[in-house]
Amino acid sequence: MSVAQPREDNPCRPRHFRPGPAGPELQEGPAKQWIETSRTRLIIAGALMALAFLVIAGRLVEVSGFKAGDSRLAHNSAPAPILTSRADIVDRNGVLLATTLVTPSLFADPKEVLDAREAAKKLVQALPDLNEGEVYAKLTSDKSFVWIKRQLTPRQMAAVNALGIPGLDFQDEDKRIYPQGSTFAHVVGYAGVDNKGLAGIERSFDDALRSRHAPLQLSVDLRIQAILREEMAKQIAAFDAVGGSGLVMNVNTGEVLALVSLPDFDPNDPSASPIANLFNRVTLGTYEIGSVFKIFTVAMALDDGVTTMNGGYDASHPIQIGRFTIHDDHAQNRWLSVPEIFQYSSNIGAAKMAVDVGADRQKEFLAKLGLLKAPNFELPEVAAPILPPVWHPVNVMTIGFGQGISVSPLQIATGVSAVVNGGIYHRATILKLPANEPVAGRRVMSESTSLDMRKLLRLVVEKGTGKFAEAPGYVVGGKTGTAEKVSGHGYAIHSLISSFAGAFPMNDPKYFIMISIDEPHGNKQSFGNATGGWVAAPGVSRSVERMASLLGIQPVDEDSPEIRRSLMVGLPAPSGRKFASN
Amino acid sequence: MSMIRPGTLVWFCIVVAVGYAMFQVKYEVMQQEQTLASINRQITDDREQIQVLDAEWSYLTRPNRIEQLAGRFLKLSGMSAAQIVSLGDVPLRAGASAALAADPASTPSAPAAAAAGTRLAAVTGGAQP
Repeated sequence: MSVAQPREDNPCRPRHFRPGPAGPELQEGPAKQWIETSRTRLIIAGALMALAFLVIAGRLVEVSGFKAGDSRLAHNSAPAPILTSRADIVDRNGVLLATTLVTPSLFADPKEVLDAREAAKKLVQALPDLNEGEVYAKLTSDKSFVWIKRQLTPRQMAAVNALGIPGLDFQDEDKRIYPQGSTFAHVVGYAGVDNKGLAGIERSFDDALRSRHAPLQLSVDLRIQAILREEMAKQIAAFDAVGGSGLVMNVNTGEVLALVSLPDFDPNDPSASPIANLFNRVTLGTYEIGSVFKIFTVAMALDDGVTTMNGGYDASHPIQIGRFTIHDDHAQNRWLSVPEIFQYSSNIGAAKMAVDVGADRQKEFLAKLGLLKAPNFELPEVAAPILPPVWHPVNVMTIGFGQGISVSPLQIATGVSAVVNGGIYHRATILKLPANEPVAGRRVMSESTSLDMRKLLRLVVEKGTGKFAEAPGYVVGGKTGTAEKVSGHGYAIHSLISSFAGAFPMNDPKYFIMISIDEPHGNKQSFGNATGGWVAAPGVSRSVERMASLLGIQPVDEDSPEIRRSLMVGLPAPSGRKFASN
Repeated sequence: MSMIRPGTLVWFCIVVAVGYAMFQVKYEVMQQEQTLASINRQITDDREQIQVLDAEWSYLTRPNRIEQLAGRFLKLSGMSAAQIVSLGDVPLRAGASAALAADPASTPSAPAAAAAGTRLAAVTGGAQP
């Protein structure tokens, strides 16, 4: 090593020792050969080592310099989002209507349960809704996995843990919760225990709810829904009725704000209610809605030009057609002007109007208003209307006053919305539309027809059959309807469907509202009456009073000159055109 | 025996120092990762809690429950349209209208102020059940 110091000058070197040559000097023959070989091997080994280090160095530069972006840290820095199996459903204001919570489910491995009889006894004490015999059977089965109870509450979980039974364990499962209970039963629907949507929005948006993360926002408003439901329930109770349907819709967009079908059920436990309660009367039920249909007949006649607001028809005698007789419920027995026909709900007048329009144009007009085929709506429970197979002249007449055609309340809502909103038909939707964006629609009647209809609808509430629908300040307008339910071959005289369909405020309609009560019975307060004007209209009045301010509608003075003038119906002077005695 | 050169010593020290520093950083990163994981777990737990509380909030603020509670604890009844007036209909305060009436140049006349006063009385009267 230390060649720096000359050997001879080393003072420590023993005198008698002469060092031999340290390196291979002056070697000859085979020795020189060996040295050459080892030197070559050394160089090769050295080169290999250098190469290996070079590779490592290169990799080091690559990792630290160029791959900094996908280090493990970057992945870990954000917390994992909660991956529930279904997205939430919220109302138009973001109130939770359906959500998914992680809940524990109790299962057992029967092979590990030591004393099945004792375990079953204890379990039933902790979870009283279990059956001891069934639990015992499960715990003695020869499987290695049995569910004891799905989806426990935290309290039940603590109780089971406190038992300390070996062989029991929990597994987290998703549970669908409907905090609003039955209020939105028919809108939101429900999902089964395996998180599959079985009804309502849960069913129609099943795939979307499974795959998306952001909540699904509906157009319904919890407050409006609660008001409508409560007022309907009051009317149903007061008139000892079997059920009812109700709807509030934005006439300018087609958004449904409330959709109530009573009786309803608790989506948290749908099997607890009778199966009939699952039926959605608003979208799946079709009814002969009666006089409400005259809204469409009069609009059609006015828009078609077969009559005008100053025109009229002779309603002094019932119409005989074949074996049918058409007569009026509120018979005036005289010539009636168009506003009077609407106001007194004259079947004779409406039938004559429909005949004047004719079958083809009647069909065409009703089709434009979406009344002749199943509506395109987001809920899976949507019914097609029931139409006469052949459109005979008698059908033209009866359809004119709402008999012989069964449509769903949803179709009525969509159609009437188009009649009052200026004549534009918007598809009904239960999804919230972006605010301040024009909504696609198509014109189905002239603006002036729509204005005339607004006047007529207001007239019904001001002076006609719908007086009880009045909500002071909110200019309600609408039409009553009382129809006998179809039963077997004819009509059941004592089972009625009593409805009121209208909109408010009538000087500038914003919202459609409809209440329809199924099989009401007259009571003392109604002097035995069970018609739409007595049964449904008061519910509409109270609902409008309560919901108008929530909907941002400012009350107006109905008697102010502007409102009067805008909705005034020019009644023709009862000159020499009077018929009969009246 | 050969001597250790100063250069070698320096390199040896650097190797030891770098090795130490590397392991130090490694352990620190491991610890940070553990902290991060526990914070993330905490966040996930909190979010789950929030979801449960959201559901509970929605359940507790059911309109019919609020209505029941309001009926029990508040002395309020449903609002009627007569109780809603526009800002323009709100009369000036008594003092302000008196001051305006005292100034002959100002427009509101005494009868107008009086009318506004009676309208206010009508509104408050209507508000009482």
